[in-house]
Amino acid sequence: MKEIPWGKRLEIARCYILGHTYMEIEEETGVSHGSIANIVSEIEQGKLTIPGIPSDQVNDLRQLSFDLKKKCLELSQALLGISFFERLRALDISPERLDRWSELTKRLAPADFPAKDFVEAALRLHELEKSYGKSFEILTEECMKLQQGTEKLREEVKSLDKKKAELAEEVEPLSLQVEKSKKEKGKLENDVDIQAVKLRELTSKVKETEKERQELNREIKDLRGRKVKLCSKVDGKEESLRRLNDIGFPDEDLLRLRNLLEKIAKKEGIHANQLKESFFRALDYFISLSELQKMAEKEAETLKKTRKEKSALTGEIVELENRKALLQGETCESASLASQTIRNASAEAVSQIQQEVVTIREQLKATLADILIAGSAVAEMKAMERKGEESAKELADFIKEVKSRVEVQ
Amino acid sequence: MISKNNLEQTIANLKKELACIESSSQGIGRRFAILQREAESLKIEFLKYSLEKQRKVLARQRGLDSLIRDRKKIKTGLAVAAGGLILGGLISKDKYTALNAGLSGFNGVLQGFGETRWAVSLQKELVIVPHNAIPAKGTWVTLESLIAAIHDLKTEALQGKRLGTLDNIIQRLQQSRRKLIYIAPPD
Repeated sequence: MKEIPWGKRLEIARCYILGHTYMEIEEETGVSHGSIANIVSEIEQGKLTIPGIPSDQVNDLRQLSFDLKKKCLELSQALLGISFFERLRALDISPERLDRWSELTKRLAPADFPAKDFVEAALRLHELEKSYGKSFEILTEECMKLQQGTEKLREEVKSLDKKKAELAEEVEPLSLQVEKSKKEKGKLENDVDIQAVKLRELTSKVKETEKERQELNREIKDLRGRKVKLCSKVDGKEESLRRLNDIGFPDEDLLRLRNLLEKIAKKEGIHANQLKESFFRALDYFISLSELQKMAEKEAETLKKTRKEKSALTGEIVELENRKALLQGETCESASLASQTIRNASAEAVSQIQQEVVTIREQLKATLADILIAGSAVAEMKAMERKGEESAKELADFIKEVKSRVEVQ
Repeated sequence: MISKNNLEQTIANLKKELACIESSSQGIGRRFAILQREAESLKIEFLKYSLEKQRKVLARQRGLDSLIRDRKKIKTGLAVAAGGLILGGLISKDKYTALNAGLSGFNGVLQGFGETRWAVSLQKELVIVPHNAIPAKGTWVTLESLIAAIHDLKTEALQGKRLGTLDNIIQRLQQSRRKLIYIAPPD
């Protein structure tokens, strides 16, 4: 008789443990019924050992396979049953209390309770637990957390929108303040310009006064020259009058002089006219002398007036010069002080404002970048969510398609 | 008007919240990606489940036919059903459970009698037939090899590959010739 190879014998042993009937083993392996019976008896007697399976457990395993097969159960379903049993034990439901528990479950379950769907769902849940390596409670908790996280995120997005709006509102008064400061700066610059214009006007006035003073000085010089001349003339005339007085020629003396002249004419026998002419000639000389005296008086008066005017003018000039110097000093001081303080204050304010605006701008830029990053992450999440929804829809379509296309002939 | 310190504090809080949102969005996105992969793998699981279901239905039908033909088998089936009924009754002490156990046992017997090697057509419709009743037309592969090839597709789906529609999957299966064992139709 031809001996069956080792591999074939092992295959037969495997089929035997898996609870196959002799007919099935015959169909699968192509070995005759008698040979199969011999191999089985060898296994039962412990003559044929199967690697990894103790010989005393072979019958138990076959029995288990039979039971599972009888109950139409897969190995995964049996495992699920064990886990179910474990769960019941964890709930403190012992096997003797199982019937009471089943009664309670039936009473609680509605009449049209979809048991089949429930079992399928339980199987799917078990598979999910296996694939993730996590329990149902942890998965449920994670799902809840995810839902809560999504809600939280929605709320956070809303609050962020609100904050964004608030920030925009806060930025507006800041920009208004900056504009106000700019306007104030412009006003201050205008004031500085006006002050500079006034200063220029004052300097031009001072220059004009300087010119006037110079002209006056020139006039004073001319007047002094004329006065010197007149003085010399008057001095000459005064000298001649003094001489006449010194000579002793009063009115009485003149009358006496006429009488004397008449007498002289009579005496001398010279014509009176001749004597008159000579006398008038002498009088002419005298008139011109008196005129000269009057002129000298007038000149003295004008000299006095000019002296007074000169003194008044010099006083005015001094006063003007003092005022000018005072004004110049004051204006220069005030203008320089004002311009300096304005410049300092405006420069400080402008630099401060610029610095603050720069820092705020940088902060806002950084925040905007962060918002953009977070937005892109949220957008990615949304895209993934959309993809998930699409895949769920696709899966539903796929299930429909499979249901319609997997047929029995 | 808001002070500078307040503004800085608000911006710092805003940054923290933004970082938190970013990290949680990324986490959720990753979870959605995993779910998408799971959905793809579920397609394969469902296809496998549908094929298995059809196989069982066919097996039961075949088992019933053989039971009608063979009286010995009727006896065996009834004995198993009675055994299941008694055992179920003993364990649950409930008539419905016992009945269910008995029917399940009978059902298992029927299926056991009808089990054989199965062939599947890789056409527009996925038709399952017994190995010895393959029609002359079409391409036929063994159910075991098809399930093994489907299992490979599940691994690919879990790695992130998109499987598409049933037509795409059939096309892929047709291309994976290494796994599939083709059966020549009878002349």
